[in-house]
Amino acid sequence: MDELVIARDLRQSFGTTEALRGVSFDLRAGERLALVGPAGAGKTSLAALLAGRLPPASGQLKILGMDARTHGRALRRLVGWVPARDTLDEELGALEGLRAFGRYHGLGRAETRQRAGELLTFVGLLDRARALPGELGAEGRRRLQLARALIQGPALLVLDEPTAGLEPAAQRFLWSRLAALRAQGLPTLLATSNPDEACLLGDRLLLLDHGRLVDEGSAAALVARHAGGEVIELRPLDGRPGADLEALLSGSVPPGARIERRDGALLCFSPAGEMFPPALLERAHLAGFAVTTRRAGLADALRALRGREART
Amino acid sequence: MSLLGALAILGRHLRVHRGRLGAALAADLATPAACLLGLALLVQAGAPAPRLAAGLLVAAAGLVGALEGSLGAHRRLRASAFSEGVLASPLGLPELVAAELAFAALRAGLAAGLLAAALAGLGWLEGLALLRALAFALLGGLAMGAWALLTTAWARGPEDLRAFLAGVALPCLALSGAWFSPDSLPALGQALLWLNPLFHASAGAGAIGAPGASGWPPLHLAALLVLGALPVWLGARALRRVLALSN
Repeated sequence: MDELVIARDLRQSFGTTEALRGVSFDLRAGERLALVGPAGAGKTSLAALLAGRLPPASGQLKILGMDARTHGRALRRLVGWVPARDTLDEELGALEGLRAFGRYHGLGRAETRQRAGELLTFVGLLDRARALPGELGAEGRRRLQLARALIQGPALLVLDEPTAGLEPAAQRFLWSRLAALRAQGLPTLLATSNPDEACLLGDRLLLLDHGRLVDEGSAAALVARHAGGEVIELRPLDGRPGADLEALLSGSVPPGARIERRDGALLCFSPAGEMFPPALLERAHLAGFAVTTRRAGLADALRALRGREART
Repeated sequence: MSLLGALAILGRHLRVHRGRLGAALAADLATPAACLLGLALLVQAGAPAPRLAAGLLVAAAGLVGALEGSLGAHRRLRASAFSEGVLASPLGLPELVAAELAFAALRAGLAAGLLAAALAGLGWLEGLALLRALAFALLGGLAMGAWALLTTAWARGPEDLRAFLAGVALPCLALSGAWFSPDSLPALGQALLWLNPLFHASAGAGAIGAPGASGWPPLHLAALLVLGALPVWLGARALRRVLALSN
């Protein structure tokens, strides 16, 4: 089976809010897919469908060969889920909570005990095995949530904002664990609003906005399509209004370049594969502007998409 | 529904309560123990001990069932992420509800069992009469747990649970028919008694002295089953909606 997930025209509504408006995509074996988009894009709704927590209101969703509408229980046995909001059992210690969850999955006592110990080691919580989730802090809770999603040995892992709100070091630790799972061949589907996380953990990215699939591809391809190649950021040093610089730039930037105002600065995006001429940078510098040059990233692409959406 | 799954959730509840067993038993038995003292005074004054003892057993089980099905179940199903966590596993609402009812019945059974041992020790309730009273007390506790679970499903907050305990559970205990003769009630009151699960539990347990035509235990057993099953069905429907459940 090449396609682990086949989604066609998925729609989901909560009351009068349309969370998903006809999303279609595939997830292939061994692939890491990242759903990227701002808050309210529909990522969490889609993740809940993929985890077997909700049946789709309409459309077709096949996960691991099963219809998500009729095989919710069987799917939850095979899909590990790390929801955005902790759903840990606050009344059981880390180890006991993992064991209980293993029992919910129908694992035997010996197997559950062994798996729980291994997973606590994997997420670096073995020395906190007796601690209640409330005693673990935000980082520990997310680690425990990941361990819980793996207790049954899932065939697919769905993660919804697994590192949101964590310190960079804590994020890096969880990313390293997800990289280790990747090395073991576990396919993952990550929903995130963090562009760095999406680039790091997604082989292929789906850009969602307002419940629609806006674009998909590798991070590099999406950046090239929506943000360009190079970005120069120009910020007036002495509070001079940026409009002067805009006038300075007009006619000097390469064709197809995009200019955007953001937080008092002016950003120019060159078309993919093109660089700004050094003379332009020099002229801006001489005119009294702080000039920063960098490669365009996924955050720029997402911002460009949102801007385009707002204008249309 | 997966029986093993429901047992796994029940095992979890027991594990959580393992460390609090003493406190839980003390809380469950405090009121019946106080009633036991009152009962001793009544028996000394010539009141029929077996009847009142059976009524006390039913009341104790009903009270524990109502408390666990409301405050306990609400904490697990509505006020914490516990139910969300379970629903991320292959288990679903049927297992959650079954485990809640089983846990309420276990606690009610434990409280009633300890009280029954005390009553047997005092010689007020013995043999088959004791077993029958215990069985109906357990069913009464289960039915009250079911009503409480329905309240849990409907509750918008803890104040609704308090309203249930003060406005439904305690009147059910007081008006079970064990502490007065149901025949002394007006016709409307007698009709309303039939909606009270603890009336049927008391009647089945032999706690009602002059039951008239309503004294046939199988009839009360059937009424108890209906009054227990209906709120479970309604509560499961409400919980499915509240928890936005999948298949």
